[in-house]
Amino acid sequence: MNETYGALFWACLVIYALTVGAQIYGNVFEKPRWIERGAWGVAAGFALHTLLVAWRWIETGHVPTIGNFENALAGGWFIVLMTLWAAWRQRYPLLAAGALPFALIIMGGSAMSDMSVRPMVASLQSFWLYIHIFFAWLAYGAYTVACGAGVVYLSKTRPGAPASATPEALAGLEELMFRSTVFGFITDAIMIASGAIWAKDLWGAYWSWDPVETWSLLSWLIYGLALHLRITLGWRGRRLAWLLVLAIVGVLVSFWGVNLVMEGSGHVFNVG
Amino acid sequence: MWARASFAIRRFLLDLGGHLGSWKLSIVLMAWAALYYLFLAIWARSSPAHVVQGIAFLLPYWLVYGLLLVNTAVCLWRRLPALRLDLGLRPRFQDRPPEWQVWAGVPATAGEARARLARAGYRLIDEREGALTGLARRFAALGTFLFHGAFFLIAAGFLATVLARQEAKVWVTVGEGFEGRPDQYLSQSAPRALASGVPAPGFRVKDIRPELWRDQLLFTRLEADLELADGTSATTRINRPLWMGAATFLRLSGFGYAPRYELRAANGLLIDSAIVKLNLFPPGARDYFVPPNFPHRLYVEVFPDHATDQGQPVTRSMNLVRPAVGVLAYRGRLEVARAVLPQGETAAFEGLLLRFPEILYWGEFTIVFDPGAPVVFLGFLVGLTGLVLKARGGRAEVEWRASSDTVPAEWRGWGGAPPRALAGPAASGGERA
Repeated sequence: MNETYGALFWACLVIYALTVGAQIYGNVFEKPRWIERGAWGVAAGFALHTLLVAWRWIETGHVPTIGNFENALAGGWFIVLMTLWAAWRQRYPLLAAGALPFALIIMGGSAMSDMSVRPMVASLQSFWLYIHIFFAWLAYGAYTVACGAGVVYLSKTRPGAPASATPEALAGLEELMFRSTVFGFITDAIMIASGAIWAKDLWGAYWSWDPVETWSLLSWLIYGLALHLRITLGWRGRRLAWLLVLAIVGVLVSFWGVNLVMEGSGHVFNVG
Repeated sequence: MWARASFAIRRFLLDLGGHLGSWKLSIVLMAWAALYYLFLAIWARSSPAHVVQGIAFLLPYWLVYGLLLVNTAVCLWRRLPALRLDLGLRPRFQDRPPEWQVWAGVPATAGEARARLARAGYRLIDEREGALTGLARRFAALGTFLFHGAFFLIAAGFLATVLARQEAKVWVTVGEGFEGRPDQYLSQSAPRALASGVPAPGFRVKDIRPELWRDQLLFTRLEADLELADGTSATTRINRPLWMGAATFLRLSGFGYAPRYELRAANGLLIDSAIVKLNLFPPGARDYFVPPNFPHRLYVEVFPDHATDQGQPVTRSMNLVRPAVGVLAYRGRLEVARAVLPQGETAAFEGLLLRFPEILYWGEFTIVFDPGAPVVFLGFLVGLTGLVLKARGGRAEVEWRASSDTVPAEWRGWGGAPPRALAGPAASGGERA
């Protein structure tokens, strides 16, 4: 990877970090203009991020899907895209402060891995790769948005918090938590199913209890549990928000942590 | 007496059904399963896959799987009457208070209300004097059934895999055929409860094409051309197996070098020649063979893209470009020859001439018989269809009521928020959820 690319990548991370900081500042000190400016900062960072994804794509000749770095680059792009979209739809720019730290963690962590250009290896030359990874990004993006909405909801409804959020805004956040979780649950299911089909082709077995498989199943089950609690037992508000904030841990582990701390996963993002 | 006992039994069964079909039990079981998988995921940190797989099939896990299925079955059974109503075309919710009402921008005439219902994607299912009812997402409830019902297919497929999955590995060199003779198998999994061997699909290997990236162990291509038993040709790649029947597939899972050696007498007379499948990949790996009827043991190593660096043989890439074979010949413990032989060159030792005129590839083919896989994939398809049907929410009904002397015209709705397409030009305000 050349130096210019590296510098731009770090610049992108710095922009995201500064904008998250600005939004947190705006929220704590009740300065809405900082929250608004932060959202514009995220949009600027996203433009640079898009450039980096395109650059990498052109340089390698394939969609950035190989290795930890490319996965985090593209996965982070999806998280920011979905956060921006949700913030725009909800007219709630503070959402970025809740969701973007996860993109920062994933991308920052990947910067410590091998960033060199790798070819598309034979085992990955399958359209199932694109289905599997595309839906993984959608799922993780949606879960991150749900978690970000949960963080903001908790901060706005904590005891003693200034009443800066209207009941409509809080209801909107709650609906966003639920809808994002439903969307994430469905796309996660497609991700797991397509992964199993691909695993049958590549490893000869559709399920091998690989650490990433196990963590993905666990995450999916936890979100299924959250949906059941919401739909059947009527868990709403802070309880649902706490659940979604905690549930993101499983996603982070399956996306990033397994390869970092565990050996023996045959999952592709080890290639890098 | 009998009547009381019968009543008690019926009561017990009803209670049991009530408990087994409760949503709270679903949540407890899901939390229980999540804890089990957390344990499994932590265990996977330090254990190979087959150990983790062994744990996943222990009795406590089967118990959770079984209870989850029973719970799901009872829940679905109890919801069947509601499903019939949900799929029906008669208004379903109007005996309940509306979940939302809109008064602003509501059309005054039934014609305009009908047009707006159609625009919002609602099907008109009831029309009375001064009232229209529209229905959307009629099949959403079926989605719930399909999604949860798919678990039974997945479980059946999973069980079939556990009871019948078989796997065998064979090494077949280019030009060689596989007929399923017992001596051709490299390994075969132990018999399972419902299967005691893999089917043997006959094939002949026409070509194997590995391609590696630069000097690194990264395959950018690994594929094999096969001639199948019926005379047709097919290509299999490392991640694209060939289906050889309803539940049997054949995949290329590895490859290696198979050098052909020639042993000649000093006068050039050919004494012995054979192709030997050896473990010589990746470069640097060394294997040996013993020519029949000779006292020698020959250790060999392949340099696929041979060059010499400071007098030492090296390989410039992983691809078979200019192959050479490094050979070390022993008789007993006595080293009798050491040479690096590019193609066509000969090593002489103890009255024999040794050369390697060609290096072929052998492919490791894995034959998998798994009757559960198609069932599991069918389960995925059914489950995902259910999720998609349910994705936008449950059945929704909207009722338009014309204005009367005392009440203005209104939209009343059940299921979801008021659709924007129902709103007229002055729709802002006048809404109650």
